[in-house]
Amino acid sequence: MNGVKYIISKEFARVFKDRKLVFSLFILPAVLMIGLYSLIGSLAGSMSKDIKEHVSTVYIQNVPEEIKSLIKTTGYDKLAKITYLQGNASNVDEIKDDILNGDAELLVIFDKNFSEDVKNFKTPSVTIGYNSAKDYSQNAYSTFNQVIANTYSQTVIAERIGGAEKLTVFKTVNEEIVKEDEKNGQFLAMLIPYLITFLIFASAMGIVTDAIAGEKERGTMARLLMTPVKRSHLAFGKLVSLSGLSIISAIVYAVSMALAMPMMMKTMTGGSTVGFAINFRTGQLLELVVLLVILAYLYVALISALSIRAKDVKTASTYVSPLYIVIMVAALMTMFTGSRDVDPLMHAIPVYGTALSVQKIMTNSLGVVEFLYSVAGNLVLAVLCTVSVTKSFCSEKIMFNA
Amino acid sequence: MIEVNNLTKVYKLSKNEMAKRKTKKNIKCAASGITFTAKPGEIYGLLGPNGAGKTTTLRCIATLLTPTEGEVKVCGHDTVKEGEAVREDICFLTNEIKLDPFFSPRYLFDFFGHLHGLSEEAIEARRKELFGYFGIDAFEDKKIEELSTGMKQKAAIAVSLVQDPKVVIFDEPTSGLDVITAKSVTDFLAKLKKDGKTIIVSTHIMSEAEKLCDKIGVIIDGKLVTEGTISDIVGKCGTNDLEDAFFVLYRDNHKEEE
Repeated sequence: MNGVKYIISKEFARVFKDRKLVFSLFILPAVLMIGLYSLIGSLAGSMSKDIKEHVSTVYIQNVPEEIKSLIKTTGYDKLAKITYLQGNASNVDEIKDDILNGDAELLVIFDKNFSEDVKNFKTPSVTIGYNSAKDYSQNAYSTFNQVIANTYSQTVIAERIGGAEKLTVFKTVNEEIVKEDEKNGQFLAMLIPYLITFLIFASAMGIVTDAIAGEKERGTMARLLMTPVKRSHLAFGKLVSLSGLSIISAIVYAVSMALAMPMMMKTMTGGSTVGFAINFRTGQLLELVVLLVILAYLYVALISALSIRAKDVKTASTYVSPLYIVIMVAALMTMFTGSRDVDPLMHAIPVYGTALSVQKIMTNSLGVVEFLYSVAGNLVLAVLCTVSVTKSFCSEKIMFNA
Repeated sequence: MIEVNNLTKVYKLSKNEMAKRKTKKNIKCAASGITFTAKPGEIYGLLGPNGAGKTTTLRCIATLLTPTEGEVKVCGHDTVKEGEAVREDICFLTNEIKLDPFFSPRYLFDFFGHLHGLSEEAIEARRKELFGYFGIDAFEDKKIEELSTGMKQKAAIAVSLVQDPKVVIFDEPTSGLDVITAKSVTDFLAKLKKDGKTIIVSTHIMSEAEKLCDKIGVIIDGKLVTEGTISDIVGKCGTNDLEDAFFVLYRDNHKEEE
């Protein structure tokens, strides 16, 4: 087994002795991810701030006196630049064009006899025109509804029935009955399984196709096959070293994401971390490590089994692409599992089962049986792929196109 | 010692390959009933045009391909049943087998030394000897991709010989090399012969064969059409030199593919 040791050390040296490769495999993704998420957070934060601070241009036609005074008392006139229109204003169409073009945000038209109708218990109408495709207009619409329309409506109803307190039929007292871990890990439980299962594959793809098909393309594989090391040892050495590299790459992705996500959410939500906090216990962490190591090995074995049949890296990438989509779909499916119960046997489905298990680890609800099913499902496929790769290493048709 | 006995290698052709070769046959016989022996302290030359079956024969000897029929023994070991033992005793150098461009000659020499089970001391001693002979010391820490063709070939030879093999196989050893590097390679082959190694060289450069080889086997269309010393072959063909003899043999034995 000494050959395995030297193959592993060579594959690691191939990556870690090449500064450009270290940079592109480990540093650049981390920098990009942190940078990208921070940028998204900061852009989303500043967009939401901008919408809030924007003074809307609002046109109100036939405004009743009581609404006018409500606008003053609620301070709505400071949130919006209001223009009152006369009953027979002819420029309504122009205002609608302005709303369409984003030059104005809201047009409110009260019925001519609005106040009278309200007094007489008739149901007058208020037409509110806004552009649902424009953030400023959308925001102006909800602000007007909330601050003016609802307040006025509540006030009138309260007057009619003789007091605001009569509007409240009962009080609801909410009591949250939830496991802290489940609550805190909810959001991550939806996101992380997808990201981890998918990112390990993405990391493995480039490294493995180069190390297997790349070696064939460069003509360096034959030299390895000319050594007295058993072909099975050569294959195993490659698989183990490439799994190690894929795991390191995936860890870089995961750590970058763990750093970047809360930063992004804090910027976006103004400091809340609900759904983003996980306190791992040693057992959970161990389960996670075992699952990810096996998953990385499975991916490497799968990609190797396909890449070895290719003459060059380009062809290998073509062979692996459909698998990439399958992995993406399997990982994506866990995002929409929600909290419904999944048959433990489903955990035995390679890749999908691991994603399910990782999801349950995030909320500290993974059972031993489910964990074992996940491990077994992936291991069986990984062993089959390893056998296939080893056989391919011995096949002159595959290795030398003979 | 290399003993090749009735070696036959048949490739199955895919539909694409059949279309490329413009043939209706779905098999190609690359080597057919080839028999010869190469002895220690002797350079055996395999001569033949491109596609004649020289490389296939050499690959079968080097355990990279399995003969369809017949057997090949290297130092008494069967290439099919005892592949690993054969590979301990053999060095196979061809233009198609390259060195990893991302590593230095020194790293690769040590790496392959380890794969051959050599100790650090043995590798060190062997490296000094070979790197000194080929003048690789000057660029031993440069990456292969940064080296010239000649430097690469020297490094490839040194790395291939790391385990001091008893049998050396060179497929087109001087192909693509400048005169000076080619001379250093042929000189080294002569040295290996002096050291008692069994050497097989495939070439289509007649002058090189005449200068280097003790015995020649001519392969045409997968068959060994003649074998012997250069004077034997020239005598049999009734020509003045090996090149003319080769053309006579080619004319008499080559058949156009159906």
